[in-house]
Amino acid sequence: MSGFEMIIQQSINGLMLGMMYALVAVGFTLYFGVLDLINFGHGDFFMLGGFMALVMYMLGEVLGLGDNIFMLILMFIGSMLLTAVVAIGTARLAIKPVMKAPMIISLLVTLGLGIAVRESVRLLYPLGANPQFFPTLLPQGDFTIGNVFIRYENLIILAIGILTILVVYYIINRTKMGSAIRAVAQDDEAAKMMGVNFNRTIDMTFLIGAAVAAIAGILFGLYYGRIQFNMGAIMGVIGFSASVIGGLGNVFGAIVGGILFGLMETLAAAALPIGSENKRVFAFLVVILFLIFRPNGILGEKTSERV
Amino acid sequence: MTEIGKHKLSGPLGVLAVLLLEAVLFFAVMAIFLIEGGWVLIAEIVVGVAILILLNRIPGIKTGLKAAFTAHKTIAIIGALVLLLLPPFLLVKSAYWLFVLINAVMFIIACLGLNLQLGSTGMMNLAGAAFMAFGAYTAGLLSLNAGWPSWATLLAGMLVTGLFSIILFIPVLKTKGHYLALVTIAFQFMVVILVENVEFTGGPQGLKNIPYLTFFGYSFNEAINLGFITLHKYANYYYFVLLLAIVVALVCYRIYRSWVGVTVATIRDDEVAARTNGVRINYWKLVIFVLGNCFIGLSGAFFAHLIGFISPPNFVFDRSLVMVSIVILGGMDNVFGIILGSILLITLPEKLRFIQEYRFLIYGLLLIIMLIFKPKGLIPFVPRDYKDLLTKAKSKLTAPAAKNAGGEQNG
Repeated sequence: MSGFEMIIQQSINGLMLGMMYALVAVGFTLYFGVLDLINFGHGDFFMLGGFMALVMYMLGEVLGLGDNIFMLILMFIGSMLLTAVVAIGTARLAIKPVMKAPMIISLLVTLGLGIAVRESVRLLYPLGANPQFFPTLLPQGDFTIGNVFIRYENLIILAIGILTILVVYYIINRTKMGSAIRAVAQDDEAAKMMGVNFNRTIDMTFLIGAAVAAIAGILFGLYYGRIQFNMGAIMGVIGFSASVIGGLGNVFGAIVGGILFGLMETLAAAALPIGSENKRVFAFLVVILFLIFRPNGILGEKTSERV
Repeated sequence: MTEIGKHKLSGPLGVLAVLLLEAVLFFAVMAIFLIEGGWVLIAEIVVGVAILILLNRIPGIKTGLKAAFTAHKTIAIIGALVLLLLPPFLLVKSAYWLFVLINAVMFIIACLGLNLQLGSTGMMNLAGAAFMAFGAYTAGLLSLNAGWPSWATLLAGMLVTGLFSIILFIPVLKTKGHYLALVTIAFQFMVVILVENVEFTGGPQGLKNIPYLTFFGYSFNEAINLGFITLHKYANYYYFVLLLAIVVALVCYRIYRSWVGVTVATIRDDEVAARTNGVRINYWKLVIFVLGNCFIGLSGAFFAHLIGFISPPNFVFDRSLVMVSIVILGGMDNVFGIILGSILLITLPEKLRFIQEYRFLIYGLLLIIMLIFKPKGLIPFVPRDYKDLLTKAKSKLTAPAAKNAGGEQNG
């Protein structure tokens, strides 16, 4: 395998990972735009999505569905809905009361929310503390181009990811709900005066964010074959990093940032002599450097405060 | 009403009031350790918190007691010191709870450091556990590999942590708000991953058999035999960590009362306004960031010697979260709040072991509820009283003038 082919091979792996990061990052950027807060519990919505899909899988087995496309559809739709319901509920109960509070308070509340969601899954899911095996539902097999292996799975995951991004893009830019979200993000007072239902817009933001995170959780399960109750914490940090790299508040930026983060991790593991465990150290280092030199991200709007 | 309270409590009645209040406070805290039944404990804490909130609502009692404390300062200090000597005697039968108490006092040191950054200066630091790791691993490695004496390892743990915090200082200075939070979280994760994967830290196995503290031939590993009672060896650690905590608390309190405290408070409240008024923001941020991390590192170094075995899970992000929660729930920029917060947040999870499984869930929910309903913490921040600072400053201004006048006369 030549050096170039290895880079391509690693990039494909990085793209898989990056797609999941991107989907999580979309949520961060949406919440930040609409509510001006970082939801550190968002990584746990990602995890919840994976577990809800497993619950749906059990339901499907009770209903007599085999391991087929209908099962997959049931898992996706059921998990997205259930995760969104949890997200909207928690947002109404816990996040909205601290919306105008100092940043440190909202930060701790959302972190506490993440703990509550994580622990609930551990306690309520049967044997929830152990890693859970995720059913193999995507067609197996692979083909090669030159020396580069491509699995069918990879293509399907990529396709689902791109489709999700397109749908989100459509909702945000072409629907009434999307324009309400954009209006509140720009200026919530003015939006309220123009008759935008503020509370409903917040609900919708959490619906979109959580449903997209749930998709990422299911893709993670399908790709790695297992999920664990505590995988949301690190995913939250990565998703937040990705949305910052791309520019907070910018949906397209979040996707770029997520894919960049995924590529950075896999390529660093392959190319740098630092060992694969330290790939994340490299990625976080890049994030910190980014914050020093381009705090507004790649696509973020420029703000400044001068004396 | 306030005036009457003041008048009465500054007489001999005040001595009684001061000592009584101290004793009540002390035994209320000790009761947390001594009470066995979980529900009784919860009842005690609910009552205690209710009393605290009530005290904050009725200004007369508070000012009266404050006056009594200032009038009988020496007695109050002696009384408090005597009470603080008692815990090893009270907990003579349960070494484990003495150990938990030591842990709580250790966290007071770390959280006072964090409070300097977060509460006084408004610098977010979610990498507290990472800085604790620097202190702990420095102390551990130096005592294991180089055979340094305890006083040197503790000092080195503190200073090395301060040095390492300079690495993070440029990103900390350049970022604000959410971005600063992200920088420190990223740093926290980086440190834990590195410690797990680097060889000289022992990787996931950590460092074992770190020697216990020994000061000039006095070993902390032996029980204290007083003739009528034999105290567990942890009593040594308790008195030592208590001494450290008192020193750190005094330093923090002096900073709070000085112009430095006022200066950094302006940075916290409005950075732009502070800069326009000539506050050297970068300088003070550096001083506070390094000093705060030194305290965190000191408590980490103590931790390494206390338990003798450190590994990466001791320093994960959850620990940083606990430290920040202590500062917020106790009360920002408030030494007494930090003390109360540390004792509650370190001890309660241990006491709540009877609800084992649900511990963290309840912790998360309580955190949310407290922050929504009491965002200012158990002992809220009180607006600063500038009076004595101003009189001091004025006397300083007039003193050189008097000197000059004297000089002229002589000439």
